[in-house]
Amino acid sequence: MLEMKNVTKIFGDFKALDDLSLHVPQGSVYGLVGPNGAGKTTVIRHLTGIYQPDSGSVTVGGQPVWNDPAVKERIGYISDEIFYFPAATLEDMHQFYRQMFEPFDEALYQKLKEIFPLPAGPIRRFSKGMQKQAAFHLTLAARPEVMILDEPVDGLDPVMRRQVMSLILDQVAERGTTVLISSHNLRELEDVCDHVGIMDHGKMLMEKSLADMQGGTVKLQIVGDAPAGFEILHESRSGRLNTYILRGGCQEVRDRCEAMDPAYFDVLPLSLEEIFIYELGGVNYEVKKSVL
Amino acid sequence: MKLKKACYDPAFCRMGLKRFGPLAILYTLVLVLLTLSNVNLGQNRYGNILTSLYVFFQYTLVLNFAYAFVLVQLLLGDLYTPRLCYAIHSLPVTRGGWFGTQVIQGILSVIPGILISGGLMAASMTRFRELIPIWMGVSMLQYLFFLGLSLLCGVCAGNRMGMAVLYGLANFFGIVISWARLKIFAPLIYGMYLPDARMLLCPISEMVTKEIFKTEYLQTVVRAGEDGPTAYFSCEDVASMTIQPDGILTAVFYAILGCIAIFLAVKLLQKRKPECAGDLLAFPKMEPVVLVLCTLSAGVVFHAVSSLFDWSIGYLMLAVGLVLGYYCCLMLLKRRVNVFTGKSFLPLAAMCALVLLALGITGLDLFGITYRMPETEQVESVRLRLPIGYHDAFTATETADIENILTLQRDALEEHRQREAARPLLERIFGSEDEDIEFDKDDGSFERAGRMYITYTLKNGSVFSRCYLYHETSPHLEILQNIYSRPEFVFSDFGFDVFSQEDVYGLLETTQLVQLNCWHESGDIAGYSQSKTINISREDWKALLDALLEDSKAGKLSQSYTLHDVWCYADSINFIHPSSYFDGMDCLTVDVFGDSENTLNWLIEHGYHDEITE
Repeated sequence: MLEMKNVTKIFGDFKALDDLSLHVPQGSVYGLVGPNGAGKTTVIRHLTGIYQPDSGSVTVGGQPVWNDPAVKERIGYISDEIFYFPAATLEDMHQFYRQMFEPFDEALYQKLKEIFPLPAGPIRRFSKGMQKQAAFHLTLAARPEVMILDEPVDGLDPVMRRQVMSLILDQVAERGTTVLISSHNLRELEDVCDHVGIMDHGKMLMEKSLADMQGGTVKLQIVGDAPAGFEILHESRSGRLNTYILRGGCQEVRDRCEAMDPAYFDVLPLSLEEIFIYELGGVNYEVKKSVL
Repeated sequence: MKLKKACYDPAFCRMGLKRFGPLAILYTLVLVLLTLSNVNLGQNRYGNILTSLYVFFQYTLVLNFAYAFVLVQLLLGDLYTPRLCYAIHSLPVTRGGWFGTQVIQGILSVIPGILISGGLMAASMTRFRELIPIWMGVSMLQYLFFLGLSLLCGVCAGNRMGMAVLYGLANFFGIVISWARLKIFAPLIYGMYLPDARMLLCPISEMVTKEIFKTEYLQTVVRAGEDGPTAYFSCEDVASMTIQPDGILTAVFYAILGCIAIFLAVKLLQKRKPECAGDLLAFPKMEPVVLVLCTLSAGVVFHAVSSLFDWSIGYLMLAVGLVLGYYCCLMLLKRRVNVFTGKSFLPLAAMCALVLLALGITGLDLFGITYRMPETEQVESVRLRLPIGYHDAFTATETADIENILTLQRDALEEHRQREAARPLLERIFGSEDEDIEFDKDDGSFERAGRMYITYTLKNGSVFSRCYLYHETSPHLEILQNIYSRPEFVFSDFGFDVFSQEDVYGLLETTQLVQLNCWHESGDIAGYSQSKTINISREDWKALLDALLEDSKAGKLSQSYTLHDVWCYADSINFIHPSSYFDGMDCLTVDVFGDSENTLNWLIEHGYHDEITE
C-alpha cells in the first residue's frame, strides 16, 4: 500500500535518506522505529507528500503522492506538531476538514465528540493531550484509507493512550485501514504493530513482520558457552550464568543447547525494545556506560 | 485532478475569509474615510474638486501599496511557520490550488471598498463624474500590481522579515539607484546635470508622476471675503480637465507586470522547499543578490541622511552604511548575531573595493564625459536657461545661436581645466565638481555669478544636459548679456507674453500708469536709499520704451544683476495695467541697471532722474 523505492533526500550537505526502501502492506500496522535523527520524520514527510525525493519514488496505492490531492485525500496524517490554524476553534477545523476531505463522516465525528468531549475555544488553549485528541477526531472522521501517525501517544496519559490505540485498531479491524506509526515507545508499538521497520542514519536496517523479527533473534541464558554456529549480537555474564543474544530461531537454539546438556539453559523471545537495542548495537548505536 | 483543486480550494477560501476578513473590512473603512474626506462632497467654495481628487488618487495608491503588503503577509504567512507549512503541504490540495485561493481572496478583498467608494463619489459629485470609473479601474490595476509583486516576494521569502526586505527592495531600490546617480556619481563629473531626475525603476514614483488627469488651465474665481474680494485659481467653472492616457497606460502596464509576477510566483512555489520555512529567503541562490542589494541600499541611505542634514561626511557615511547593511543582512540570512568571521569579511571588502573603483573611474572621468561636446552640425536645437525670471529659457535652432552656446560651454570647460590643474589628486577624484558661489566680496560688493543650464537635442534624437557657472570674468559673458536682454526675456510676465519687439509696444495699449522707482541716493548709483516714486507722463511712454529697447539691443537690459557690468541696479520701471486674473491691477516691472545707459540718459534728459555722478 505504502511504498518507497530507493529514495534519497539531501538537505544542503546532509543526506537525510540514503537509498531507502520501505514497504507497508495493505491493512497492516507498521511501526517505524529508529534512534533520534534516523530520518523517521523525513520518511513520513515523503509519504504524506510534503517532501519530494531527490531520487526514487514514493507511492500510496501505486500512485505517486507528490502534489496529488486525490491521493492525499486518502491519507490521514497526525504529526507530532498538531496542525490547526492560529486562533481556530475545533468547530473551525471541523468545518475545514469537512470541506477538505470528501469522505468526511459527520456522524462519526459527532459520535467521537460525544464520547470524548472537548472544550470550546481556540485549540491553541487546549492541553497537549486535548490537541492530540482533537486531531484524532478530525482525522478519523475523514475516513482515511491510510493513517500516518508521528508519535501519536506522546504526551498522553495512560488511559488516553489506550483509548487512542483502541481507536486505531478499531479502524484497522473495521475498514482495513493501513497504519504507519512512528514512535519511540516500543513497548506500546509491540502491542499493536504487525510489521516493523528499523532505521538508522537514513537507511532501513531491517524491515520484517514482527513475528519474523522476534523469531529471528533470541535471548539465551546458559551456564556455559553459547552453542556454535550462531551470530552473537551481545553477551553478558552474571556469576556463572551467561546471557547471549543470538541470531537464530528459538527451536534451533533450543535443540543445540539440549545437545550440549548444560547445567542450565533457557531460550527466551526478545521484546521489540531489546531487538531495537541489540540490532542497533551492531551499527555502533548502543547503550554506553556513562560515569559522571 | 478536479479543476477546483487545481486553482482554487473552497475549504481554504472559507477559512481565509474568517482569518483575513477583518483586514479587508479595515481596508474598506479606510478607503471610505479617504473618499469622504478628499472627494469634496457637496459644494465647497474654497476648495477645488480636481485638486482633492488628485490627492485622493495618490492616497489610494499608497493605501493599495501598504494593504497588498500586509495582506500577503497574512495570506502567505502559513508558509513561514514550519508547523503550518508542513501541514498545508500534506493536505489534499495542490500548491497551485492553495496559491490560487490566496490570489482570488486577495483580489476580491478590495472590491467591496472600491465599489462603496465609487458609489459614494457617484452620489456626491456633480462634476467630473467621468473620473469615477477611471479611479475605480486605475485603483484596481495599481492594486493588482502591488498584489502580484507582494505575492512574488512572499513566495521567494522564507519568513515575514524576508518578505518585507524583498518587497522593500523591489519597490524602492530604484530610488537607491537614482540617488546614487544624482548625488554620488553625477557630482563627480563637472557640469553633469540630470534635469529629468525621475526615480528610475520605482513603481510608486512612476505611478505618482504619470497623472491620470490634468487641469488644462485655471480660471480666477473671485469671491467676497471678510476683508474684501478674494481670488483663487479654480477649474470648477470651466471644463478644463483632460484625461491623460499616459497615466492610465502606466497603470495597465504595471497591472500586466503584476499578473506576470503572479505567474512567476506560481512557478516558483512549485519549486519552493517546505524546509525553508523560517529562513530569510526560500531560495538559497538569491542570497548573494539580496546581500549585495541590501549592502548598497544601506550605503546609499546613509549617504542620503548625511546630505539631508547637510553633513560634509557623505563618503564616510556611505562606507558606514555599506558595512552596517552588509552585516545586518548577513545576520538575517544566517539567523545568528555572530557573523563576524574573517571569511565573511571578504565579500564586503570586494563590494567596497568595487564601489571605490566606480567612484574613482567616475571621478577621474575615464570615459571623458566632462569634455564631451557636440559639433554644431550635430545639434538640432539647444535650450539655454538662466533661472532669473518668469521667462528664462532660450531655445536656439539657428547655427549662430548654437555656436554661441557652444562657446559658453567651451569657456566653462576651459576654466575647469585650469582649476583642475591646481587641485590635489584625491580631491580631483573624489571631490565634488559642484562649485559654490561666494557672493560677498571683500569690497562689500557682490560676486556676479550664476548658473546656466544647457540642454542639447542632437539630430540623432539623443538629449543631454549640462550645468555650468558663469562669472563676471567669463570671456564671452556678452553672449548671455545679449540673449537675456532680448525683449522676450525683459518684458514677458505672467499673463503677458512677448515674442518680438512689436509685442512690446502692445504694452502701451493696456498700460494705465508708468512709474519710476529710484532706489539710490541721487548722484550715487550704488548708494541705497528709500524708494522714490515718480509718474512718467503718458506722452513719454513710447520714447521710454524706445530707450529701453535700445538698451535691449545693446545687451544692457537683462533682468539679473549678474549680467551687468555695473553690479547694482538703479531703478525699476513699473507698467501698471489691469489684471486678466485678479480683480484689480497688475504690474510689469523692468529693472534698469547702472550700465543701461540709454534708459538712464533718457530719464535724466527728461527730468525724471537726477544726474548720476558715481
